[in-house]
Amino acid sequence: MIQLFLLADIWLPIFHAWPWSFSPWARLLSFFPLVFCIAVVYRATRVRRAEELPTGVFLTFMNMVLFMGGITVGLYLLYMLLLNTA
Amino acid sequence: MAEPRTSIDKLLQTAVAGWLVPGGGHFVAGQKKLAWIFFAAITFLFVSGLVLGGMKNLINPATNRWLFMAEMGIGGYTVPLLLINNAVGEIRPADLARQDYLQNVDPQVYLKYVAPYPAADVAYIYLLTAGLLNVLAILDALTRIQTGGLPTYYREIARSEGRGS
Repeated sequence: MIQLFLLADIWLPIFHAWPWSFSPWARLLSFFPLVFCIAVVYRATRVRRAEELPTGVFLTFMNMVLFMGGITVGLYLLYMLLLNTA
Repeated sequence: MAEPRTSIDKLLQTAVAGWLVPGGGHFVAGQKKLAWIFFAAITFLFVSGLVLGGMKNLINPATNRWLFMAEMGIGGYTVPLLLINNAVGEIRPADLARQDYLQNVDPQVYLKYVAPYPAADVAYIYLLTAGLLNVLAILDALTRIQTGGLPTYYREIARSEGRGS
């Protein structure tokens, strides 16, 4: 049993930390799978049958991306405005 | 007409199954397709978070108890991983919360198990979200088993569809 655990120590990719290099674009891109999974789970709690999911997930995903993007842009513009007027 | 009451045993089975495996509650409730969908979405987030951040620091109540509480939303994943975490590896999870240990630890050993910023940030968010989404999934499963497969707001959905048609 201990040999299995030692094997896990070497091989399990989740056990060790990896030196991922996360560029700013990579950080932004990591947002999309997260939002997609949230959209899937949220919509799955609202549908009567699994067949109703695709349209709902697409709409929720686009809503979340567009609105969060809009909030980001809006806050950035506000920040730039405050910087320039200060 | 009053809906027949679901037994406490059945509700407990659903809740425990959902807590052990994402989608397990829906499987018990007979919603197999939805069970697979919950399983895939939540497990993907959980495993991605661990791959990005490493287990020692992330499944660790000593370094971040709130994250750990959120991860306990998927007890079937978190508890075994916590046990493995404490059993193997060159670092004890509790040591990662001690300042004296962090000041003296070999950086090569430390970096083998703890991801730096920003990977750790992304990992935290993925794991937190996975755990909390599973709580939502368990509640949905409990509703569906009581309503014969209908979602939480089935009356409101029916009403809005009636208005739309």
